[in-house]
Amino acid sequence: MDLRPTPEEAAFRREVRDFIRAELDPATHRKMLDGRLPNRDEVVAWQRALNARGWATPAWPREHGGPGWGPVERAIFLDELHQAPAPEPVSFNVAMLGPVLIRYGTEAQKNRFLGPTANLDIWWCQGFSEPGAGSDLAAVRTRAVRDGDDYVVTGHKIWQGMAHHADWMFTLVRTDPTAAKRQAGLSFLLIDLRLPGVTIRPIITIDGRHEVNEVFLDEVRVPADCLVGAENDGWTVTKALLSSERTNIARIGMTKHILRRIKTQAAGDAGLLAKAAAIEAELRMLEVTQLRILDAQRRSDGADPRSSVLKLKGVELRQAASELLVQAIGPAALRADPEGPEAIEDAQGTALPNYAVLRAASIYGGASEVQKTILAKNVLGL
Amino acid sequence: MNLELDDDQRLLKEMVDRFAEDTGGLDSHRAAARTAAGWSENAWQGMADLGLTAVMVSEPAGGLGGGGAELMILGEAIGRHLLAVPYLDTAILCGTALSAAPAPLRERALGELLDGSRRYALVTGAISDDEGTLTGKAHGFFGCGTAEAFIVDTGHAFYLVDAGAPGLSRAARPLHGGGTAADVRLDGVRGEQIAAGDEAARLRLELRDRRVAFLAAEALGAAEGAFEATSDYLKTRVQFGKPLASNQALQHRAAEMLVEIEQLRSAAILAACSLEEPVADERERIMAAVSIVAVKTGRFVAQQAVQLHGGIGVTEEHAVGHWFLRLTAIGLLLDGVSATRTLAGLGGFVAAAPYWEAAA
Ligand SMILES: Cc1cc2nc3c(=O)[nH]c(=O)nc-3n(C[C@H](O)[C@H](O)[C@H](O)COP(=O)(O)OP(=O)(O)OC[C@H]3O[C@@H](n4cnc5c(N)ncnc54)[C@H](O)[C@@H]3O)c2cc1C
Repeated sequence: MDLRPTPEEAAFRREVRDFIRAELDPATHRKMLDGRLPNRDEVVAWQRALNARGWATPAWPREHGGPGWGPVERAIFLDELHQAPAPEPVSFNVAMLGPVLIRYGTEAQKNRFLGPTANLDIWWCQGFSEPGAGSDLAAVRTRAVRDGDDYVVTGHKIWQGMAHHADWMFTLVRTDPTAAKRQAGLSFLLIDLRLPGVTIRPIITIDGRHEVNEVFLDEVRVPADCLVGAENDGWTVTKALLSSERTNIARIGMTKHILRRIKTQAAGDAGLLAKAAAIEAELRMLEVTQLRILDAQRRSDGADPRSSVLKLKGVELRQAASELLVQAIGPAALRADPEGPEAIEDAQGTALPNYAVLRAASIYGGASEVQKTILAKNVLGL
Repeated sequence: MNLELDDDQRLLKEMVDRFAEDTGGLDSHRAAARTAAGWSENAWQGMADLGLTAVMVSEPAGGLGGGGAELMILGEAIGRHLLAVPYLDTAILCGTALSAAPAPLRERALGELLDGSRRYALVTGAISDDEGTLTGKAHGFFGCGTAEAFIVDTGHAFYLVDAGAPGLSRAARPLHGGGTAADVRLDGVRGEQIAAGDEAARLRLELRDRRVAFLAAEALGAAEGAFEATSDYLKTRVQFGKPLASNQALQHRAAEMLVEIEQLRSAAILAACSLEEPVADERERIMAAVSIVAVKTGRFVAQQAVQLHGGIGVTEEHAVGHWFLRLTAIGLLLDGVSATRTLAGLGGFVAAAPYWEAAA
């Protein structure tokens, strides 16, 4: 038994780190260090820099422009981004949509979308959730009715992260309301957000920032060649999309970054440092759990039920760290910026908004309660 | 990274698991707890006969030279099957100490330890040492009331003393969960030196690390045992006309236990893989982190396992209560509070400096 990285893995880590140091715009880096969010232009510039190196699409196969990495390299790459910290390539594009287009898309769709998706010439957003379909995603009601060469789409999507930056949206829509099983009446559709009938309304989250949106679709005519997979087989595509990059959900490097900020803030405070140590101890073990799963993936790449453990514990620790940072700052964390949260320029000012909005991490991507039910059903056979 | 066991380790695991399953279990654990020593002579002799007492003894000393993987195999099986044997206290701690002794002493004393014919226990204290004549008070836990020979850590050196030596007296007291602890008084007792100076300091750290790694593995085994019993119970116990397992509140509790057990397994693996970690501070950080997590997860699993069993969980007649007690004992021995202080005192794993500066 050996947990140490191989010499090749250590050299790869070094190579990734050197590249990020050399190529990441210092202004973007400064923002990330302070817990601020990069703007659209900064995210695009960074993704294009990664794409020029062939690294924007870590999980894509080589023949579609991916770097040909295995699960261990992918995890190292992401960890270096998180610890740097640097923006991740937009996950809607590269972790979610890209892999399912490669698997389920037509040749025409691949030719049309994969390149621009990797280079962030098209920014995608995820149009799954609806007011009546949250954890219970199969309750989606947005209707798509075939009419000649188009689908006519009408419905109400909610929680679209970064839709105000996005050019296109991938959606789950109902094409057969009469199907015996709810899941069997759904289709996976790509929608150009510039089409007539699309309205995007901002939702401001408790950090005061604009990250999520509602998207209203009012008889939007979507060309039928934007259907991915067969009509009424959208659930299959969606399940594949939601299971992508399962092992990278622990976000350990991000939590380490928050811990570094806590240590700067709490220097000399034994009580706070003891709390940080308690989080660090658990985080160290989660790192081992992730290595164990990666080790198993090298032998077989089926879905690992332990990935629910990574999500649950990873989120728990990240939330705990973000909370401890606020505690370390104390009441001074309440000081806001008159220009709004996006204008905050000091590292202390971002702690409270970031803590607040990080509560969402146990709600999206499979809420913690839902993860526990999955674990109980699958692993325990309860 | 490679987390597979090699062929020899796989064979050892099969053998140890089978032995622990056949020999351990609730009834033999309860019977052993009622004896003076607190362990099953039958099981201990069985382990000696199979050569299992020698697994962690170095090869030059005549053992099998086992490392972290072997230690984990033994700890996990012993915890899982409530096997009542003094494996940690005698085979690992005393066996490791005696392996470091000069050849003649080592050959004689270690031989009697490995074949199960003599009972050893480790005691520590602030003991004055006048050229091998020891005076002061020491204490130790499991097995100290019935030991026939003591390994004494004086704080500066390690000595072997006979329990019947003139000038040695002990006050034994029973331990919760079986066995006896003892306060040992040494009044001008002659000891045979095992190690002193730098060698003693090195040995003390080796004992610390092996102890943490074994207890983490034993905690993992006990937590798995408690969890499996709980999961079976949830599926079979019927209340309000349906199995307990059909209640989502209890499903989620079981899922939470599972998450903590995965963390505990990672802790046991990390400790096992870090016994040879060359950087002393890093090894100390790891052992502290392992202790913190083993204590926390062990307590959670133990408490929830009892809770979900209802009344039967708090009886001495059901295994779950014994896993609870053992996890509680391990929690006290690993001392999460001081481990947290240690890890914080060493600066934890990440520094205040930004990543690129710290990792440069
Ligand atoms: C910041 C943020 C960004 C998001 N980004 C996107 C996006 O880009 N695209 C998109 O499509 N969606 C997005 N979402 C939506 C997200 O996927 C949903 O919020 C999530 O699926 C939960 O649905 P809900 O909010 O309707 O909560 P509900 O499903 O109503 O759940 C409410 C509470 O009940 C619990 N619960 C629900 N069902 C059960 C059950 N069966 N048993 C026990 N407990 C249960 C949940 O865990 C939760 O605690 C985002 C959400 C947030 C907060």
